[in-house]
Amino acid sequence: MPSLLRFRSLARVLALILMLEPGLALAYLDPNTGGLLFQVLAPVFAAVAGVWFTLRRAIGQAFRNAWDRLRSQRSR
Amino acid sequence: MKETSAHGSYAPAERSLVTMLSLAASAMCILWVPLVALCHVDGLRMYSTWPQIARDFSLLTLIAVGLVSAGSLLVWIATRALLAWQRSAREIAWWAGISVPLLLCLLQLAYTLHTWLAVLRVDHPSIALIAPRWIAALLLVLALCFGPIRTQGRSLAAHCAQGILDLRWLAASLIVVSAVGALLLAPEEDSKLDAAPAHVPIRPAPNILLVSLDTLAAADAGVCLSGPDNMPRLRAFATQAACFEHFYAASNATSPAMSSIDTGLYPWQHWAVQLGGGLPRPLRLLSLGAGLKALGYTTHYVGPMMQASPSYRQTHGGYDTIDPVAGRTLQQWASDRLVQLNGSNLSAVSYLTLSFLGALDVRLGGSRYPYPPKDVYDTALARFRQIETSRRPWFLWMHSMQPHAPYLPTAEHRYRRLAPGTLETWADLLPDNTAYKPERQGLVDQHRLRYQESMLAADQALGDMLQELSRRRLLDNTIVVVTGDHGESFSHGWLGHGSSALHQDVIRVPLIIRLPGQTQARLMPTPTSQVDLAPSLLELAGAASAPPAMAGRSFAPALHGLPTPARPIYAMAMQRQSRFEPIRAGDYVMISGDAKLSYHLPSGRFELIDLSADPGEQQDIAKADPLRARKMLVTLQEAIAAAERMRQQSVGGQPAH
Repeated sequence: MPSLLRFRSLARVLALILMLEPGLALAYLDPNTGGLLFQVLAPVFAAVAGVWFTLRRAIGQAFRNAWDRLRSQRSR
Repeated sequence: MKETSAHGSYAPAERSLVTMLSLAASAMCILWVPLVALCHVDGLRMYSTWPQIARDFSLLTLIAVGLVSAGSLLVWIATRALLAWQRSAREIAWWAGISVPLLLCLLQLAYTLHTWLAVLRVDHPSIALIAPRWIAALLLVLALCFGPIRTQGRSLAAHCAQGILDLRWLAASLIVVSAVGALLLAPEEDSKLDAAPAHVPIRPAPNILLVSLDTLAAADAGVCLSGPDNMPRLRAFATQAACFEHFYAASNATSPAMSSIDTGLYPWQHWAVQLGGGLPRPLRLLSLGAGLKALGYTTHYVGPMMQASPSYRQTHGGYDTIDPVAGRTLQQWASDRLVQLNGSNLSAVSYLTLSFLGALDVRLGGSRYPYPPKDVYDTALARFRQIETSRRPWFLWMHSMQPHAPYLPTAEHRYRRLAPGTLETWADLLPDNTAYKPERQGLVDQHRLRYQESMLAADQALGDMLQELSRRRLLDNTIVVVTGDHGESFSHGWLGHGSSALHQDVIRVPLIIRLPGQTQARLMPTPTSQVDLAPSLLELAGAASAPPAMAGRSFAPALHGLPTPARPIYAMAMQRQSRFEPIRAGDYVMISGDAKLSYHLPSGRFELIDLSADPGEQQDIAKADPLRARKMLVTLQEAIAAAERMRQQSVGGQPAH
């Protein structure tokens, strides 16, 4: 999927996600939500997921290219 | 094999049922469960060990994968059946099937993103100045400027679906690990007292009926013949009973307060202080139910499971029967059932995770109260039919939710305090347990009037129940106790209960006790606490003395007219205090006579209130009476230190430095 199209679609989905504000009808919240572990791990998770969904083919192709080069060097 | 579309996107060519189910399971394992874990791990660490958390999320993975896969399959079958004549039925059904897990992942992503932005706003206010909805609007405007939406949206969904499907090997491994984890980390069975121990002779002893109403503020109930008359039938009942004018909840939320009633311990001792988390293992048989069972009683609970039941706080070993009464809400459907998974905190996790269903409950609920008292009382009457013929004395504890929010009284009681046209439906009400600005005080006062109408409805239902029990002669030899778990705030900028609200409206609750054959009213002016209830009932049931571990003191002598010396009463809000860490967080109050000291532990800030001169708690007299303030503060700090020593023994974790 071309990068620009992907960006536009991601932007729309992100907007939709942000508009889906969770209802606070029954407000037994946990005030401990969003503590230190969450603040550290959430961006890490987002980064890993983002890399996987956007660059997995490029990463896979890079590995395949590296493997092909290695094999061709061995066969010489 | 993948094929590319005209836009160069990738889409799974094989849209088979197996692929759909693989995608559903993978989405739940790889996206949904980790997002839920991220959101709740900090809260869970307050009261769960890492093995308990691992077990909970192993169970959650298995339940989520199973249920969502089944849901996707049902949607797929239904779509295929409905569109059987269409050539593209197979493709439509495939997309319909995977919409279930993808929608759940999207909602959880929304919740996670909102939480992250909220944390950013609180911790770094200079960075995150713009509310999420404005960011969303800006992104939407930018995105709409570029090209058509539909085909690109489908390409993105297919791209994400393929990305998830590529990880199905990881999802399969996670499911296997979860299954193994759930088995290996299963908690030990809690010990349970023998039902009606045979070695205890059957002796004449009064039955005990304990009725607790959720969110029952003494100031609004006015049962002790003073204040507004919002519970006329209970007030009439109190004319033949002992009525406690200054009875205090040990906390401002259901779980810690009910745990204090059950165990005779303050929250800083029993540690059921958060939304989730039961009592530590050494304390689980220190309950009113267990004590009465040891005396030969049969013990029973009827009421909601979430937060209120012995199962929730892990004292179920002391109860012969627990009859769950489910609320009529979507959000609580799963959490009510997950309470039955003893040793698990999935009930609280599912309640918070399914908050989007709460929004649906509000919109669909209309003006119907979702927790009708009749459900509890009908279930209790069915239980009575079984226990009334027993030769052993019985103890039955009923907990009814009304007048807890939403304040939706029955038609008979609506408009008796607040005129029509305002706050008619659930959607009209402000969210429960939230702060409000001073300019909204007028609206909050209107909420209070609807709350009082809910009280009228609760009073009528309870009055009918007691009348029916009396008709069946079930109250002839019965101690009847009516109380509340905590009150409700409509002042001090806080609507509801919980958080750090510990002012009088939130912690002062009614207590009425009628002994068998009692016909005279007795007013009890001495301040007493919920922790005193268990020792008192045990003494009335014939126990020589209450368990020494209980913090409460019996007021049974006072019920017979004997004097009871006053002593300090405590209440506390400790949601942000981990049971595994030394006590350094929380808000605490100490009441001694007419003086009330409020203490915010992290900052050391305190204030002193004279309750007789300043019942609205507006004037801090700590500077005017520094000796008294200092003396009370020292006593309170010593009590906290004693609680910390007990914490290290019963819970473990880090000792205080």
